Amino acid sequence: MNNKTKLSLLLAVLISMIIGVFIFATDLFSNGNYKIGLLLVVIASIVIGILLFLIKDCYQNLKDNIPSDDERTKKIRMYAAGSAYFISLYFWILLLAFQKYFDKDDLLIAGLLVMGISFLISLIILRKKELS
Amino acid sequence: MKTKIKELRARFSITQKQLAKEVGVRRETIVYLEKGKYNPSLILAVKVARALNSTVEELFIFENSDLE
Repeated sequence: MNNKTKLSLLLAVLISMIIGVFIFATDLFSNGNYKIGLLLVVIASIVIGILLFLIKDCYQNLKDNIPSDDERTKKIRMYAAGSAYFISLYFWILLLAFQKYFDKDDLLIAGLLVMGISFLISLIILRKKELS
Repeated sequence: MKTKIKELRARFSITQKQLAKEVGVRRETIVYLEKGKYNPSLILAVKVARALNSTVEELFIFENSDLE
């Protein structure tokens, strides 16, 4: 994915997030769910902050004509995806073993969260590691 | 693995950013190459060697333990 495409995608996600949070937050606040509304705004602010940082980084790379991806970053992503796959697999098996005790929606959310988080953690760890 | 990338960069007064731009990679990749923490592909190794007016053998130094 080149820098222009990445920047366009990030901007689209940012705008969608801001609109989505605005709609949901106003709906929650109008229904009196202040705690959940506030929690949504706080979490969304953190995510929007991260997105803005990524957009700034991407824009800077575009201006300096630096590639967003090279052989090392592709390798890191591939290894991280591999690690995340196995971690997620074991976690899904664990969830299946204890499915009686949880609601289906909760199981799904937990599984998806672990998939995402394990990928992110693998990415962070592998960035610092020696790669062959 | 050890490399002479930093030494040759200094000799030709090339920054990491400039070298990265010339060979088409991110600056972080050059950082990890210099530290010997990343084994580049053959193509990248040749590109870096050419950018620094050197050869792959001169630039990347492998010890016997690295080759096992």
